[in-house]
Amino acid sequence: MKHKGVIFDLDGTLLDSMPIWDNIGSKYLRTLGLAPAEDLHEKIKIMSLLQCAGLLREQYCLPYTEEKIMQQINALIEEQYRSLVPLKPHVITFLQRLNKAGAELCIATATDRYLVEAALERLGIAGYFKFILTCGEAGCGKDVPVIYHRALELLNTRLDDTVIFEDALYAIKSAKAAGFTVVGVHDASAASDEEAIKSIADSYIYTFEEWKVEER
Amino acid sequence: MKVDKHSLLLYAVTDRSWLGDNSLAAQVEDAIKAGVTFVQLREKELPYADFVAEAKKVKEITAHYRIPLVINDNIEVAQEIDADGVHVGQSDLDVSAARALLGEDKIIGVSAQTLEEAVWAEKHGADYLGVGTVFPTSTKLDATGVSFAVLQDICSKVAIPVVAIGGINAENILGLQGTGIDGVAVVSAIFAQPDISAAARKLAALVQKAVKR
Repeated sequence: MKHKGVIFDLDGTLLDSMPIWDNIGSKYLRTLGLAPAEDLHEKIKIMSLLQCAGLLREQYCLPYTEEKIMQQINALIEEQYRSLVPLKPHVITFLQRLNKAGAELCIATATDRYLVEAALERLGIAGYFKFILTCGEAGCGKDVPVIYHRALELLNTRLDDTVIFEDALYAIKSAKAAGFTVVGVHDASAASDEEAIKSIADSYIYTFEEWKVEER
Repeated sequence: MKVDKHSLLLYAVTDRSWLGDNSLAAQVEDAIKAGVTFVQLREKELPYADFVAEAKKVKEITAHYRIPLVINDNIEVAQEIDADGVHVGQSDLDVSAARALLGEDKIIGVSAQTLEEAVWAEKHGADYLGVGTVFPTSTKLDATGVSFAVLQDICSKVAIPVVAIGGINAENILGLQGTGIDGVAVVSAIFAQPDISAAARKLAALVQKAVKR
């Protein structure tokens, strides 16, 4: 790969963080000493955090406001970013190679900055990235390409010299529509979108070992 | 200190160029039996799964003889096989990542060519330094030379152990006497030799005279 700029998504692309979100409702209930129903995950996986808090409050008769429940869940998520979330396979070797090849790297993520920083610091990889950009800071979600355009500006690389690694279909769609080169990264959480991603993205990889870096 | 400087005395860096019909693990075992005290597994081309498989075999040998094993550059392989550590180049990012991912107990070796790089690496948590190249070498064509004076200067100014590397063989090893090194690292001087055991034995005897007393 000769790309000078690389924009990485974080969750599901660099970090194997999806299982945290997948089971967050159950984990939260267990911290309260409650047993989650088996179908809880199916029910909440398409919900926003606020909707999820409402459902938990009602079905498990929790003595907290929805806002308080959201706070508690966020604290639980934060704890996992700080102490647990691992890198996906071959990420560290890939970052080392890109760094040696002189590429400029950044992260464009929907996750809040303090969580991103906590995880990157613990994993010792913060230094590989020129900057972190969050959807919150960009002002839009990845359903529009604003965050990618902003990242490109900050990287100071050309559109045709820059590549995005991303695991989520909706984000890949908006990046492709904006003319970016996008590599779809396999993640178990997006397995049902695999074929759709393959048809849109420029390439599709199961792990970063497949992506060859040309050393300069 | 995670790395005992005496274990760095005769440091062997593997190279599969001259393997022939032998396995790398068998060559490493011969070298250890003949006096090698530290092993760095270096693979540049192997796919991850093959690298891990190879590293596991070599680790069985090094663990049996209680010889430290570090992996060249590949933090992930070191993590996967629970090696004793890694050896990385002069990159602060790689040193930080290796420390964070492998933990405080593992050995991190760093390459240095100048006093500045050596001091920097020590400051960033390197456990030992590989300094070179001290003699012209055929295995690393782009490597830059380190003079006797610079090597001496580095050894006197850093507290962590220093291993000289690059083009060292039985003919020139005594030329390192008086530099203050704790050991020598060799590649072809062992692994390119028709009789690995004899080559390692000869170096193991000579290196005693080359290191500081």
